[in-house]
Amino acid sequence: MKALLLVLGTLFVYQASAQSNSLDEFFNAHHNSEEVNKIQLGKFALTFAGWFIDDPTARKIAKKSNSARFLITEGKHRVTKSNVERLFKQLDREGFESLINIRDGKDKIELLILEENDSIKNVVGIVSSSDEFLLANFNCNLNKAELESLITQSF
Amino acid sequence: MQVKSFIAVLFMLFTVQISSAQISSLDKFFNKHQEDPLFTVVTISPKLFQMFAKLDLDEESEDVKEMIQQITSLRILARDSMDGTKLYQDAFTQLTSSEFEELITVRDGSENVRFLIREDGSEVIKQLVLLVGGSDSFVLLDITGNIDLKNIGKLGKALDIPGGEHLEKVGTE
Repeated sequence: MKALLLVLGTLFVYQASAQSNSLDEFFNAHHNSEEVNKIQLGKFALTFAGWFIDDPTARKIAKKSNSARFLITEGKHRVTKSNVERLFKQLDREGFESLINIRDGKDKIELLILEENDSIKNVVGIVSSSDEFLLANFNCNLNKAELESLITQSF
Repeated sequence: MQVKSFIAVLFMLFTVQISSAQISSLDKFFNKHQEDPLFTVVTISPKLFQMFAKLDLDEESEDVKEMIQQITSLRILARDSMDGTKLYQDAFTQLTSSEFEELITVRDGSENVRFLIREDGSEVIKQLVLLVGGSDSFVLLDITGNIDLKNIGKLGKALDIPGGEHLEKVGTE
């Protein structure tokens, strides 16, 4: 029994280690408003959702993710530029690295990852415009072969 | 003796200042315009290129993969619906006053296209800058890495980026 609890505890810690405190804080800071939609999906929900996704790449991402959460704001609730910059600084301190950053007019897109031992453990995508904001966060375990497969499929 | 040391330190600091100013003329140009909402800015980080370099993609993209493995970063500054001629000239003047050399100039319809390079002294091209200025657009594309001019055009095709269609001209001119 003790051994089982120890293993479960280790798995929980392992899972939690790929979580981001700064993302948790960000979600908590913005989810109370009526103009904010927050969606959180665990492993089972993602696997279930994957059955209904047509796009093979998106389906694979859903299958390989342990959890996913989305924060979508529109209307009067604003995620300010300073909120986002503060989040980026915190993510940088946690070891996240930016892959690509695109700004077109007032629209911005940024993709960041957290890599550990040649596997991608966490993916953050942020899309912001003058009146909308989307943050998507995937907690996953994508190794090199899986990433190759995703990219090959996409192209 | 103390005065000599002081002068030597000042000289070294002055030299470092000049060196850093020369290296960052392109950065200065980017910094000046990248927050302007009228511009489109794309930055692909070294991390993404490192990831691509480690992957075994299929054989059809072998040339592109080889090219990408040698690239360390890429950034684009672009603007349309404006006369890009003055900006094009400003960028060219700033860059060629520092460590960039002009490689090729092409006139393509109503657009002026210039390729500038920076070598590391051993004839390896470390940075390629593409400048495009036309009556209704401006593009500055900056690629750093170990650049093979013969194959750089394939990168433009693969990434489908603003100004990418002009990269093929480098290999053929």
